Amino acid sequence: MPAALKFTYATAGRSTFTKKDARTIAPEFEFAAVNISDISHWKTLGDFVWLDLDHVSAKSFPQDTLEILAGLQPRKMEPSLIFVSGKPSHRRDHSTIADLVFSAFPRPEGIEVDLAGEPDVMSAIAKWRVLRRKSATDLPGATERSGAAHRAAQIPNYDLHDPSSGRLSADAIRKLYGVTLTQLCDWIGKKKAAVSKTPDAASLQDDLRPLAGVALMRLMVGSDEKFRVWLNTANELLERKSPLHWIADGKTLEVSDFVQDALTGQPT
Amino acid sequence: MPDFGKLASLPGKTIAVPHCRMVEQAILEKYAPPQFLYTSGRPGRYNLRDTHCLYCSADMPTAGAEFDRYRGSRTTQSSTYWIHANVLVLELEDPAVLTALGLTDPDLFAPWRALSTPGPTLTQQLGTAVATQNRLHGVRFPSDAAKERGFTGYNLVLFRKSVVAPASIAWCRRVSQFEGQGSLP
Repeated sequence: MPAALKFTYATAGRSTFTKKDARTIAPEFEFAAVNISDISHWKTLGDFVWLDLDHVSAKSFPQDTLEILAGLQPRKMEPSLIFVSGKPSHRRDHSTIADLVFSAFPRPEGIEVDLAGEPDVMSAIAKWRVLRRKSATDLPGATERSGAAHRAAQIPNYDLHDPSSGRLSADAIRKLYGVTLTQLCDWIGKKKAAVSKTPDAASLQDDLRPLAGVALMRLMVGSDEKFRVWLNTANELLERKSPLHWIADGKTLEVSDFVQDALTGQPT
Repeated sequence: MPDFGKLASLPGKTIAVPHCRMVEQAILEKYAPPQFLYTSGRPGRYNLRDTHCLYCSADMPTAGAEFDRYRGSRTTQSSTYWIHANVLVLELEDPAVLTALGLTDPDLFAPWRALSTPGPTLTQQLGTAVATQNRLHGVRFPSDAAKERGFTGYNLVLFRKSVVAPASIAWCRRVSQFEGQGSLP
C-alpha cells in the first residue's frame, strides 16, 4: 500500500487556506495546516509544502526555516515541491526575497515562488504533478507501475524485456543497439533462425544479460540515441576503442563490468 | 606467476581515517535504498571476478578524479559518502614495499580490464595474494585517475572476507553537490 501523499500548508499568520480548499484543488493529498515554527521539528519533507510568508521583508525573512527545508530536500527520494508565497512589504524586496529562496535550496527546480500577493497554488500543484509524472517516465527503459509513480518502482531496462514472458528479448536489444539480427547472433554465438523464431527464449538469457548490462549506460547518458553514440565512440578507459569494438570482439561481459563501474564510481 | 612470498614479512599500515567515494546521485537513488558497502565481485585493479571487495579513495580530490573519469562532460549531481575503516593494509606508497614485491610504477598503472590482454595483471595477482592471507585486510595503492589529473592520490581496496573483528568498516555522512562546468555567455 503506497504511503499517502502529504500536502502541508505552513504559515506564520492566520491560516487562509482550508482543508476544504485543498480537497477541491488537490484531492490526491492528505492535507495538514501548521505554523511555520513547527518546521524546525520536521525530520522529513512532505510531497507538497506551501510556505505562506504573508507580509515579508528581506529583514524578516525566515532564513532558518528555509535552511531546515533545504537540508531535508536532498533526502526526499520522491519528487517534491516547495511553494513559497508572500507579499513583500517593499517592492524593492521582491527580487531579493525570490533570490534568497531559490539560492537556499540544493534543487531549485523543486521550488516555486509567487510573491505577487495572489498565490497561484493551482499552478504550483500542476508543476508538482508534472514533476512526479516525468520522474517516472523520463528514465530510459523505465516504466510506471500501476500509476504509483515512485522511483523505487522503476525497472531499469524494462523495455528490453518481452512483456508477456518477462524475459530479455534479442529483438528489443537488437533495436536498441541499432544492429541487424545477424550481427547480434554473431555476438552471442547463436543461430539466426532460432533467435528469430523465439527472441526471448530461456536458452538465450545468459547470453543476452551482459548486453542488457551494457544498456544500463542509458541511466548515465540519458537516452537511447546518446547510448548508440556512446557505443560507437572510442573511450579512453577502454584502451581508446569503442564499446562496440569490444562487444564485437567477444568482450561484452568486460564492457558490462565497465558500465557498472561507471554507475557506481568505482575507483580505478 | 610472481612470488609474493615476502608479503608475510612486510609491514602493514594501520588505516583509521575516513576514506570517501563519489557516486552520481541519480544512480545512487535509482537503487533505493542505497547500499554504500555493497560489493559486486566484479573485477577491479586489485581483484579478480568473484573476489568481493570495497574500493574507496583517501581524500575528496582523488575521489573526484575517479568520479570525473566516468562523468565526462556531463554536469551531474554527485553524492559523496565516507567510509570509516579500522584496518591493516599493504602500503604501496612505500618504495621498500614495492622493491620487496618486485613491482615497478608502470605495473601499478597498467590497464587491468581484460580487453586486449587476458590477464590477470600483476596488481590483480597481488590483490589475490593479499585476499587469501589473514594478516592484511587490503591494499593502499596510487590512483591512476589522480595521476592522469597531475597529482598524487591514493585509493584503498578492502577485501570483504579479510575484514573480521577487531577490524571494521562503516559508512557515514553523505553530502551532495553539483559537478560540472559552464560558462556565460
